[in-house]
Amino acid sequence: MDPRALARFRTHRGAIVGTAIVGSLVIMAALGPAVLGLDPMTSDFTAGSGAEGEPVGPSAAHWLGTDAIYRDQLARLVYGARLSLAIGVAASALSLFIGTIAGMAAGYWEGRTVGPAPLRISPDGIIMRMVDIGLCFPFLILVMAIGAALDETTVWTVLIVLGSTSWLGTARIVRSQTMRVRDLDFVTASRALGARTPLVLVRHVIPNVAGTLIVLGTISVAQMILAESALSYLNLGLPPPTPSWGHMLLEGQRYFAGAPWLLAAPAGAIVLAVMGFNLLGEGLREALDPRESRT
Amino acid sequence: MIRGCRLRRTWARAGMVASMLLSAAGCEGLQGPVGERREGPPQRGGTLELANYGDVRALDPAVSFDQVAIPFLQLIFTPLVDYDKHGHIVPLLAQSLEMSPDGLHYAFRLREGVLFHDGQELTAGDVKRSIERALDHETPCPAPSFYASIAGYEGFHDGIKDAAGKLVFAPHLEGVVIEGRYALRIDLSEPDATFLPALTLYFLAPVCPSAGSKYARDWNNRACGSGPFRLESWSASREIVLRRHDGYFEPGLPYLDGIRWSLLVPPLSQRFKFEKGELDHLRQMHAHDLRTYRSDPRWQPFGQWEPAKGVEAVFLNTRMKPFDNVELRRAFAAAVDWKRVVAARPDTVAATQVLPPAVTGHDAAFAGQTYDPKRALAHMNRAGFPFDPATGRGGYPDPFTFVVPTDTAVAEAFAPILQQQLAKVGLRMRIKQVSYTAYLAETSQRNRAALGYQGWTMDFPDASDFFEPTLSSEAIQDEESQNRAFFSDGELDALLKRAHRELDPAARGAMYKRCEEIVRDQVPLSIGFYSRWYELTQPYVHNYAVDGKHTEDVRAVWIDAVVRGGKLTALGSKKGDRMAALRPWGRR
Amino acid sequence: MGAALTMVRIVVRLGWAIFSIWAVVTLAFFLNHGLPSDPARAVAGPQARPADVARIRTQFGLDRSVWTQYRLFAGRLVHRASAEPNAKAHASCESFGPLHLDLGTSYQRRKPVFRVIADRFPRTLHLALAALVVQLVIGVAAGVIAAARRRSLWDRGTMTMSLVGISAPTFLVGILLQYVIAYRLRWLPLDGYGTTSSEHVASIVLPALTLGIVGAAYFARLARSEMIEVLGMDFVRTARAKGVGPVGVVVRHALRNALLPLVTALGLDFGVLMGGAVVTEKLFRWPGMGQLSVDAVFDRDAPVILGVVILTSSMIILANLLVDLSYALLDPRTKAGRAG
Repeated sequence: MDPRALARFRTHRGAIVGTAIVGSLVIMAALGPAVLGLDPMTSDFTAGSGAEGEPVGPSAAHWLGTDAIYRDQLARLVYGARLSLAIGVAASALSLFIGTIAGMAAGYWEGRTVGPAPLRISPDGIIMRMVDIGLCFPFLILVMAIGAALDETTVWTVLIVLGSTSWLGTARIVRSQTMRVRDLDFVTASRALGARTPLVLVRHVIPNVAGTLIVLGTISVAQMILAESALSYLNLGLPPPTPSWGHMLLEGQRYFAGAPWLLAAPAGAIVLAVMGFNLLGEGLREALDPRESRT
Repeated sequence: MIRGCRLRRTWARAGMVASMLLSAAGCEGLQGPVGERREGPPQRGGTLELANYGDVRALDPAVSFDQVAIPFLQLIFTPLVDYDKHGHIVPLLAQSLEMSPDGLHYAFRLREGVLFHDGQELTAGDVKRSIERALDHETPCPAPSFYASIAGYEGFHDGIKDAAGKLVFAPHLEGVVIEGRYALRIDLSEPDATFLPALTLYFLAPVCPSAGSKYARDWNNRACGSGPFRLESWSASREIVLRRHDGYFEPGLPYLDGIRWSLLVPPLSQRFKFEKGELDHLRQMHAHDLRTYRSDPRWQPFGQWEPAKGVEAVFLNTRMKPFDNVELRRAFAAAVDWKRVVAARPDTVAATQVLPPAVTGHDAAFAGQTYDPKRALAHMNRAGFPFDPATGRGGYPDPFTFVVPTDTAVAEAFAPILQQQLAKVGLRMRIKQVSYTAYLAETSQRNRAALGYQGWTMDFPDASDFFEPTLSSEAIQDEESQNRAFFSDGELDALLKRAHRELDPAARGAMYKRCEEIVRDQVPLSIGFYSRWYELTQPYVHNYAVDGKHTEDVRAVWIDAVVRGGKLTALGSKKGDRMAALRPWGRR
Repeated sequence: MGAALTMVRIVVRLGWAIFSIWAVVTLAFFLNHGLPSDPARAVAGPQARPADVARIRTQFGLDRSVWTQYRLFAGRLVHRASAEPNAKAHASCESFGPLHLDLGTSYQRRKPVFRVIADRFPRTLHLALAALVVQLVIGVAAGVIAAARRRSLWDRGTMTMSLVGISAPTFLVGILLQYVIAYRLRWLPLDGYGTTSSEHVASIVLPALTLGIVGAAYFARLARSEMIEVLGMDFVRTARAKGVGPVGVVVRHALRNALLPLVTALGLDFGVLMGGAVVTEKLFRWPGMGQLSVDAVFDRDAPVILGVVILTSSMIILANLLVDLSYALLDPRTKAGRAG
């Protein structure tokens, strides 16, 4: 990695904080469940309840209290970290993958057509039209359609839904970056010398957009975590008893007025995680693609 | 270095603000009731403020069948007969009712001088017109089959194929006979014990002459009947305002000037408004709020439980693996401790039988399916899948899927507990959450769902309404089966057929009791729980009737305007004082 | 010559726009049909007996093949007002001059879809505009001031708050606002729409804030980074050297140049807002299109779903078109690039 970029990253305050947050999240997700030893799926009916059977707050046995059916909240939070991170990263990767391919194709062939004479098509035109259509397709129907086609809501359907609806923005950005790179002198020279398209793409375009992609990917993880919580709030996300943060938010909302810790814990976790990834993304952007070169 | 300190201070400040906000959110005392209850003669006047989480789609009684609309229909229309608070059917619009000994003829004598909301007098001709309007073949009525026993129904509603193969519909329903200006007779083609209970529903309730004799879609917005209140305005998805019908046939009733019903109000907002005194009644609240109100001594005199009107259970598909094996079904029933399951929610009570408490025939002493883990293991053994709890080996090898609609107590709170309990006897259950419409579609198709949620609320408080649509062989269909367990038992079918025609209440009761026993032993359903509503009213609301037969019955409510206006305030509630003082006298 | 070329381009884009809308609607139609469920059952209720549901299904024409249903739907969508309108057949049509637009009748609400949407559309529009105002006023102002006073407390505070703002789920912000301002402080109504104009204004504040805060945070950061870039440019230094005061520099010189990306983001954002801020509308009981579309999807009320899809896709595509056009107008560089 470019040593100057590394130096810029190290001195950027936000980047440090972001890395710290994301790092501790990853550690919590990886090791937490084993360290805690508590099962997020088992109801502890001896956890004691209030006068009318309501869940109790933080106690010695349950550091963050129990949820509505007496499952340990801390265990669910930690386990949910694993889920949220996994979904966030995987959905980001999917969206980035599709978006990059589409964006590069559109940007590289922008203004040009390909194919033998009678079948000339414009990849850019087709892809951009797909983006247009995709952007205004009602999200809800798409979510339910995918869920129905795959017969139930699982981690995979949520992944597919999130990934396949968010590649559009990436495609746009990658397209404009590709167009910028394509018109640079050394790329034109390389093509004039007879380099074939795939070679040009791999050797020149990808390295130049890599910085943008890394930044996009990081920020995309943040957005995926938020999107998953929104899906769960509308009850279209992961089914019970999986302890996804979004679902914990939904359950906790019902107890907001009386047992706020049920809402506060997942809310705080989501806000913190998203902040961390946003900060990290900004730090990366400053390091890899500093403002001076972005005019 | 200095920059780092400043950053940490900003974070610290943000953290302080956040925790302050959260603690402000957490610690709050429950507001006390507005005013206090004074006994006295009923007062006339005032507008009742109510709210509902749902939205009303249709107020035309001929087509309206959703639970949200029932309280409104209750106020705008009057059926011929109704349940009194002891659970007996008494004439309401009719003055008297005579049934012939063979149960085939019902003679109604209508009250004289009953006025519709538009001022026209209600005669027997209007009753016949309204009945025919609802049962017409072009009306999208969701429940005409309830009245299939009326003579001439087939010719009028289903139509008869003529020689050329075309469907011909009779112009009138011959079973409804006008015998005089205020006299009506309804003939049935066979004795039907469910006829009078079905008549208490609002489908056939008389509608104003403006409704005509054929259903028209736009009359929905001008719904007009002969009930104690008339529809003054309906702002779609926002509110419905009703005004007193001065020509109501009960002298002196209704007491209220009007009722304003806000629609689509979330439970949390309802609670907030109720505390501020902007709502006079609260029944849709979150579980936690319910617990808080129940345990607060200031509120206890003003809350009551409505007897449960529906039963919720888990159906086990008797035609699909694994539950085509009756021993596995029995193992299931014995493995589930419903009392423990439903303890997670305060508004649910473990059920013992199919009929809920509000329905005639519910026997509080009936011994239903019981929790017995040892017996469950014995059943597993007999089924051929022994399970050893110590090692966790054995049990039924394949997991099965439990289909449940989202956003229900079962999906979120109960299913995970069921999962844990079943695992202890070697039954592995997966939870599949789907949207409500998808749930309806999936669970009613043959060979699709092995296990799922089944809930049934009463249409009318009669046992046949519970057993026949959900457990009889006739209800089995390939695509639209409401008998989700696809349960077919010869003895049960025979009993249900006989009970449908049996007019002696004691004999009927014995037959349905035997039906309960069959369900308990054959386990097409693991009978779970009843959901009931906790009804909370402000102290100045009187006569709010809570029985099992009506829903949110505010027909005879009166408001103590003096208390509500703020002259008398609750003791020890400073906020109550300030609130009450702010409210102007008689604004409503 | 240049003008004629631009006109041709505009017409081509318009043609593509109409094609896109048609594609979206057709896709939605068949997708909706493929979902497992039964609108007739949704109308009749879960307790209606199958025979009665079958009757309703026939009455709604739902027992015909999907191709027939699509043909009927597409055929009636836009048609010429016939010389002698049969009142019953055109019961759900809206006339626009010589043309009729027929979006059908909602299964659940039993009203013409056009009326149902026309009732709700202005309210979502108001909410979207109000949220946009919040984003602009709070976001851009905060960002611009932060850029002008770099490294001050204001700058740090804005950055931190905006970071929290873009990291919080919308309904969380909404719940907090509702609880603190409406419930504890009682400054504003809890939810709903109100009946008088002043009540409308009071009711829109919280949902607009909820929707707007996230966008405001985003805009603050965007405005700040754009302004910082522009403030570092030569012509600004020249203006300062000439003695133009700091406010003048910011407003007259810098802002105009920073406007372009902001306008782009604004235009796209508006499209998204209009798409229906579902969660916010649900939380604040705002009777807009978001709530309508959620209900319609869960009820499988196909006419309403398709009506909403037609409307929102048209608006988003139109918004994109306008943004592209204004881009061409505002940025001299692109026009030059095109002409060359």
